[in-house]
Amino acid sequence: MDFALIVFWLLALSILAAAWAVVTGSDIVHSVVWLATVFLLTAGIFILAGAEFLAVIQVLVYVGAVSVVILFGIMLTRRTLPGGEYD
Amino acid sequence: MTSLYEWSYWFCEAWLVPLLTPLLYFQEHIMPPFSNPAGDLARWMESDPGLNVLAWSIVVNVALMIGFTNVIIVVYLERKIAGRIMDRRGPMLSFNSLKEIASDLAGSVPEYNWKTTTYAGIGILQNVADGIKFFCKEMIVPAKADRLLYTIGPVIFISSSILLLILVPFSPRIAASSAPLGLLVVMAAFSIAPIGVLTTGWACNNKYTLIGGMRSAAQLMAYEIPLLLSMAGVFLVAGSFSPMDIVAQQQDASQFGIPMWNVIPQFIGFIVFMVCILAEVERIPFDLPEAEAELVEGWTTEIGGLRLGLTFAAEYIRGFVGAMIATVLFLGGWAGPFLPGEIWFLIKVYGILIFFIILRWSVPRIRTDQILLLGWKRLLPLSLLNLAIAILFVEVF
Repeated sequence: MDFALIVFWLLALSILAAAWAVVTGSDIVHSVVWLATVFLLTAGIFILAGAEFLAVIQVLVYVGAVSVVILFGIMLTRRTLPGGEYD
Repeated sequence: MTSLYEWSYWFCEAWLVPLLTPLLYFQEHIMPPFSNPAGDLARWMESDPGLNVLAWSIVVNVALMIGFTNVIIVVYLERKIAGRIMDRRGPMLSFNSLKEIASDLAGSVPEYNWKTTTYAGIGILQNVADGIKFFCKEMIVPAKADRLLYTIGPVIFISSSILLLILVPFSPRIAASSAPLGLLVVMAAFSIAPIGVLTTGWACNNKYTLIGGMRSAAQLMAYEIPLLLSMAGVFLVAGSFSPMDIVAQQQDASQFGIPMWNVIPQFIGFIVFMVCILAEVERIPFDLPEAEAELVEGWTTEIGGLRLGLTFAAEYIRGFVGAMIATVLFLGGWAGPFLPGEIWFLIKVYGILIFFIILRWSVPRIRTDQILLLGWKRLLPLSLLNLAIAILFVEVF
């Protein structure tokens, strides 16, 4: 089997697993971290496809900005800390 | 031997593999009816892909060692210069003082004599003492912390910072990676860290770490845009993202007989870049995420053990890499007369770092409500102005 094909299937299955974890996770902050994992692994697929520039921009924009903005939004809204008391 | 990679390929081919493979071939038939994978490993090492992997691992290790050595020197300089600014001597622990320490530990208090009792030295052993302290610390997971993210968060921060070390070259000879997207990859690696910071701050389940993490995210988000825009001017002039091309362009450019490094035509960009890189590496005018007077230790409050030591090391790595990028982009990189390029590069990098350290012990921290104002209302228009000047420069000259 081709080496690139093995890497592709590894990346694709990890993306599917991480995406499944985003949807089914009970804690929303865990979901965002899994989402960042999905973005990073997608950058890996871009590198495999020979689109290095797209991969770098993917990391710069999606991992560096989009997930941080989502995390930021979650943390600025009212919630209960894991442990009971209000923030 | 033009580059580090070629040298290490030669080293593997001529020395490492011929010395290692006989041992592996000997092991292959150590139990006669069976053979084991050692021989396959040896044959793979002798092939071209195997040699490539070995050579690259040597290159990466050399780059990491050079980087970590520089980090230790920066920590030492920080302490020494801080001491001098405060009119004291800073750390003095040195090999001379080991004898006194040994007798102290044995319990006998030596008679103090200002001529013979010397704790005096240049103080380089203070780093070793720090390292031993971090090794001896216990790593505690707080009872109410989120175990998964508490474990992963610092790892994201530390690993994305260590990745930076192999991406910036010292010179064409000492370079681990010469990717055509060089400095853009550096910025991508820089931009992963906020996730680690925010998740650690959240996972510790402590209000100080949470506030520290949120401040850090707000700051890194606000300052990344002017940072990239001020870099865009240099990319435009050089027509490339690669550090090699950027430095080559600065070496060639000259006006009226003086070298025109990017710092001269794009001075506004240089100022914006320095302010933004200070914010990005969280050094003192912008160290709100770990303001030790307000938030105990910021987002690192609950981290313990060697993980804390590595987090501090990662912050110094980010400072060092920030100075390296500033040198490559604006100060001509390894360009300079007489001395070899690596020496010039280190002189410029350490000049910037010493400036950072003096700044750290001279200016107060920026106020929390002003930090986003500075980022969005002042630096962003200034970086756009710099981009316009760069376009003018490219079009006219």
